[in-house]
Amino acid sequence: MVGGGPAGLACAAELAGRGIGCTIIERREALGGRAQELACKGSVHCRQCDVCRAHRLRDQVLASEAVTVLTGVELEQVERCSGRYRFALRRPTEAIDGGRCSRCGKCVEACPTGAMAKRGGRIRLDRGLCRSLQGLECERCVSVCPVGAIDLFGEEHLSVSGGAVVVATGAREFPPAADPRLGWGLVPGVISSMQLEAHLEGRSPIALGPKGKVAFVLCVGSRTSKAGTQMCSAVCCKYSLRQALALRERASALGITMFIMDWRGLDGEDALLRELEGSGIQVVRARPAEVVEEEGRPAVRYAGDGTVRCEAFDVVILSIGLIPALDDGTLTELGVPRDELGNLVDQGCGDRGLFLAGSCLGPRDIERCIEDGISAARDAIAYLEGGDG
Amino acid sequence: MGEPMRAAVFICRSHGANLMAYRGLMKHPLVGHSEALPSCCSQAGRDQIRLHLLGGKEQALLVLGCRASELGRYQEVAASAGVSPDRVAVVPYQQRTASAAELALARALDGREPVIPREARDERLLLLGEGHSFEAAAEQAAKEGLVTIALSPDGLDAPVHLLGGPGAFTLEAGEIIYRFGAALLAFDLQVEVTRETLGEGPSVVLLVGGEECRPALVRAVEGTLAEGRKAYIVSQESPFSGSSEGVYRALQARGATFLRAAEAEVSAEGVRVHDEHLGEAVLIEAGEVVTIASHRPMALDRVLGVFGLPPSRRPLGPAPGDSGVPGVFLCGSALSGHRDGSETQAARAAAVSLARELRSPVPRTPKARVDRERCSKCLTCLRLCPYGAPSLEHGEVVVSVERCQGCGLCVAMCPAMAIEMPPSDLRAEVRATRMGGMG
Repeated sequence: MVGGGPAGLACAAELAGRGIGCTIIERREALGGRAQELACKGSVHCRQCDVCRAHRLRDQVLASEAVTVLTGVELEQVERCSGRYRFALRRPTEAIDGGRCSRCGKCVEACPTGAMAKRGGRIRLDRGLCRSLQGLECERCVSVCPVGAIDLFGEEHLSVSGGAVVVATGAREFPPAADPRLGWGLVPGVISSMQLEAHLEGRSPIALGPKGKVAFVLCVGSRTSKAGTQMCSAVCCKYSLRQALALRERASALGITMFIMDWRGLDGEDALLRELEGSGIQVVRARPAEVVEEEGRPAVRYAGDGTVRCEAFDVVILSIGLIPALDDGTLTELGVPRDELGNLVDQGCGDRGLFLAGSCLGPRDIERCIEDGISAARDAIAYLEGGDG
Repeated sequence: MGEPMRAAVFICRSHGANLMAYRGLMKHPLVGHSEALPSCCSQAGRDQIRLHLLGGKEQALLVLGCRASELGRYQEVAASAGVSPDRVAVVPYQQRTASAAELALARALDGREPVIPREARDERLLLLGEGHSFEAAAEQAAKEGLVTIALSPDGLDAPVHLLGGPGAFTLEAGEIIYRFGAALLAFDLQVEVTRETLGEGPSVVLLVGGEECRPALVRAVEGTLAEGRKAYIVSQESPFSGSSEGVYRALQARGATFLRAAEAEVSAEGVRVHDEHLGEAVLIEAGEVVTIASHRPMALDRVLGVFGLPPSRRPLGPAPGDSGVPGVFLCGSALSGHRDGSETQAARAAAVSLARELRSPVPRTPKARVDRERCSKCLTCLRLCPYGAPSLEHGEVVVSVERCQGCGLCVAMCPAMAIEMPPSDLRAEVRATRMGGMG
């Protein structure tokens, strides 16, 4: 199993439920993929955002002993030999040798970025903050350590093999900074939808104020011929609508405007659209051209009713789209076939024990990823049973 | 009830269990005996457990830090010592936390009985519906090795009654009686295409429906374009989402024009459409009008009624297709949000998860209890419950054992704090506390 997002987890849970051992290879430090960072969007009524399903699957997978989980690993090489796949993997080892470390705290003092921190009586390294790991010269912690317990670049090599491979490498988000006209990182108060998720979950609150004005800008990085993808992302309408309704529920005096092109993929969501009608959320059909700074607040410039309007808000949320992570080395190594646009196709993969699932096949919501994962698990089981017997 | 039941706790050291994590549990009032063994999953370990259980002081067995696959062996040991296999729990070594152990203890000592005994369970599946989701589900169910009773909604003309619960349903349809363990309802929206020829000229496609109409729409527009005629598509929302955006762009590039309008007026001169952007009506001199509409199957609402589901019900819960009523699953574009061609995949996934649930042991049903003294009959719980478990009978709120899933939502939201879950179900308590409903 390559990828530990909802599709990979659903697949692993299904395989484990049938008593088939599997290994999840995940590049990130934790399982759950993007769903880890999403918030539940129904506090009183369930709005079926399905985020909890991904969390439940993760718990199920972690509790199962048929599943081996390898996180934080990089793929080095794949080879296929007499019907079996063998993955050579590389994993950074724990930077601080717990046996040797005397917890003197000298490295914590020496670290210029605060990557070394004492937590729960032990010293840990935040790999994201470490300057040395970013390729800059530092290694101050290594030089001050009196017992030589720190090795920042240690690696271990692992090898995993299996009869079938399920690829669920998922999609990546459109980086909002790639479209500078929308002002992310330039205009204060412009945030991405993922930052709003963190706010809804309570991880990093944003100052919205009780009577603030909030705008959602949809189709950021999707359905565009400039930066991003030409395709529709399929999920942004769904999640933005849920986010807006969740925000409304928490602060009823908040003024919410949504700038949309079309509602897409909401056919099955009659209940949400009805809720939207009664909620007082303003929906404007326009594709904003720019977000500019106006008296320290973001202002959205768009065409509406035949004129160009500029409206100021307190917070502008960019609903960023999903782009399949196609430049992944794993996909090239495995030789997954592609169509003329570079998208993955699962043609003929099943014959050689290779199965695709989840949003690497095109953007899709958690529910569909889970169903994909289950189907891929069934196909893999059928392949393994047919191939061995 | 007399003396409360107690559990014997054994901690397996062979996987390096951390005794500190279980310190609190050892002093738990419901733990009669606790002991760390060098290795529980050896013959010597099991003999020691058996010897202890034969003493008869404890009615449940909890093994901490062992492998989950050893459960069967411990159940055998317990059965030979007179302890019910239902009261044996293993906390696997991967999950060594105090809360996991406490939850397992609560489950092992749970006084409630399974609703349907294991031997009375039926593993057959009733597959009810029509369309390609139905076929996909039937195919997958056959692959899973399920015995399927396939039924078309036309077969339910006579008055129908559903009795029983998951694992043992009985459906009486007039003279015929069907018995099954679970039901899968598979209905697709029916797409209808009507053509009206007015004369020579461009073709106007009126789309009255959502994404389920997309294949029919693409066929109609491609046919028109192939004949060298112009095509206009009038719809409120675009039925192209996700990767099908590519099809949308290709059609536009080939000369199809998409107009957004809620309705269109067809007359002898052509089609009059109110254009939202121009703000006025536009007349298209149409040679042909194609209307593509979709509607719910006629029999659907009646079928849903038989299974006690509201017409708007969509799959919910952790397993794909789960309807919220235990043992009843939903799939197909008429019953789920899947309309973009993924409904057959969803139908397969529903059949797979259903097969697994049919074969898994029956859990003891958790149940919310309503304190009649405190209940103010505000009916908040009736409105909130996603599973439709509470109902008002003779002026009192009653919770259905079959339907209650123990989610704890009512516990959290009851203004009178009149609902409680059996304390054994810690999940519910934890969730209720998180939602801030508990005092």
